[in-house]
Amino acid sequence: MDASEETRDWAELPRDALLAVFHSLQHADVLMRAGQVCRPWRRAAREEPELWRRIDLRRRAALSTSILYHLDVMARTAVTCSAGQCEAFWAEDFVDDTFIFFLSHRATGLRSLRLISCNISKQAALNEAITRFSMLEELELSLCSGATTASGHYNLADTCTAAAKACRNLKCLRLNKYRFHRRSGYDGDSEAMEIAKMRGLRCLQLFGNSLGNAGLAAILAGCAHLESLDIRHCFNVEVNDETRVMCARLQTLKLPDDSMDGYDLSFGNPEMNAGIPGLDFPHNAEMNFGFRGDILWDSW
Amino acid sequence: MSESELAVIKPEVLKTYIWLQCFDGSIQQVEEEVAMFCPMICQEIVKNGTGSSKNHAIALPERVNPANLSLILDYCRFHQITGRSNMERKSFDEKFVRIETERLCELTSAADSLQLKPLVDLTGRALARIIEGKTPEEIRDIFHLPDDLTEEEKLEPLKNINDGPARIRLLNRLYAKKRKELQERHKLKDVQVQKEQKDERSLDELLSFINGDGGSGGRKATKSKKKNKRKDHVENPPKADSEPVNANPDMQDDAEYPFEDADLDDGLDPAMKEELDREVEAFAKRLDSVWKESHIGGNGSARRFPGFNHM
Repeated sequence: MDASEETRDWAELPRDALLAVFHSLQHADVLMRAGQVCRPWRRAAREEPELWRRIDLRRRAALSTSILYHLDVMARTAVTCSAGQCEAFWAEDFVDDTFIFFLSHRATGLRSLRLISCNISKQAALNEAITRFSMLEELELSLCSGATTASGHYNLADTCTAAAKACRNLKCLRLNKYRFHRRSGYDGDSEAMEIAKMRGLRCLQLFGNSLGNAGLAAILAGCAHLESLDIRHCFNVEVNDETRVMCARLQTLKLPDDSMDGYDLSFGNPEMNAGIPGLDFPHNAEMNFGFRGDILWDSW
Repeated sequence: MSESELAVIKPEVLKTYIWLQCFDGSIQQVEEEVAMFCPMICQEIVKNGTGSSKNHAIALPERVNPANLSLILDYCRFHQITGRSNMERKSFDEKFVRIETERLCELTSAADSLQLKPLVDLTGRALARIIEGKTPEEIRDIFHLPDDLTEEEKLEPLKNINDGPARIRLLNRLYAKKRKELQERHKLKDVQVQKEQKDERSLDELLSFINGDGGSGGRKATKSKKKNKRKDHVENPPKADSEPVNANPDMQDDAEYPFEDADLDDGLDPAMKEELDREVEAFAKRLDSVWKESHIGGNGSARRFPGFNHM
């Protein structure tokens, strides 16, 4: 086989075979490496929406700094390549208001949205976007920073309201704070009361949330199909016999003082002194990294 | 034949066989249960009833050569046996794909044409491991692929390692704009040259020129004028500074796909390219001074360029 023949054969690797290769690569590698090799590979990377049905651009050790730096641009490209067929979008660090706006117009069929460490300065933008994701079954908004309430606390009650109204199929919800804050004169149950309106919820994770026993009771009463509940570091919840009785029907239960094993995000030490404001996003000096697995979302 | 005689016959004799013909004409006899593991062969047997004899052998696709076929049959032989543990299968698969890259690529093609998805996935994963973390150039070398992407495709924002997304989009648009300008200027120059070449000298002047009496002074003058003009043009490129960063309203449109900005032809000559690079460099420097001030956010994350948060 001469050189030219060899070149032709390799470039014309069947589309399905090439897609099998691309499916095994990280999305960042497909866009920045394999997709930049030659025209047939580029076409396969960009013209096959199937490849972009599930976009995962969470932080990975394997991603080089230069790639991490381009996640915003890559994410836009990936969503565009999905041609409206994107069903799952998972991202970390780079998502902001403008990207949320972009996503809500280009991926309305989304069934799973997981945003970690994202900076949403205009919560109205996030809420409006959520209303467009009517098919959403899984939602995660963890370690988010940006718009804060008067008490200096990043509150997602309005977003929960929007999700409860618009996303009738919502089964899994994950709203994790970086650390727990005990604050006086603050209604910690506001998010919980809105979550209670999500009737179809099966899995719920609220790490470091300020909800109390009233909020927990509302959730358990409202979400009749709830199977899995994780309220680790939610120290406003007093675990007593009544609480245990309420939670008896759950298949999986993690209580405030339970071990952090299996928790896959960074977290800080709880702020137990009432009235002292703290940070709601990771602070490099005291980051604890767990492994990055998917506890509640094996089906994805 | 009595029952006792049948009992003595080895099970291999009772096996049914299928005849397969490779594209090069070579024919192989394969156990039916092994061959049936390939959906494409299975379809041929069920739908068309071929493969039962040497004369009616199943014609295999072009990509399946005898060497690949024997490998594929080894894979099928192992995997069609039920009751093997996952550990055994995993171990077999790992050893199976420990072959040279070229062979692996051919095997992927062959498995794909036989619709043998588990093997396509296995070889695909092996090829992905080879590709992982490598630059496009390295991948091209490994797979002997042509470098047939245009400059435009290579000038994409993703390739620019030192820039943030908003800055990339600005530079990309500038590149697009400048390339268009330069090409238009180039066309104008060509028209000018053609005009200048039109000879309007009288017959006497031409005769004296042929006889070597001079008369070429005028011509020389135009030539040097043109040279000077070109020199001046290169030395004083149009200043990028004169153009405000956010002058273009479509630069604000962050919701739009950022890669569709530079939809231009190729074929710039080196001089034009040099000029373009100088202009973009000047623009980039100016942009850098603004960028550095607003680049790092409170949480160590890259903030957007001022004026881009339009929501």
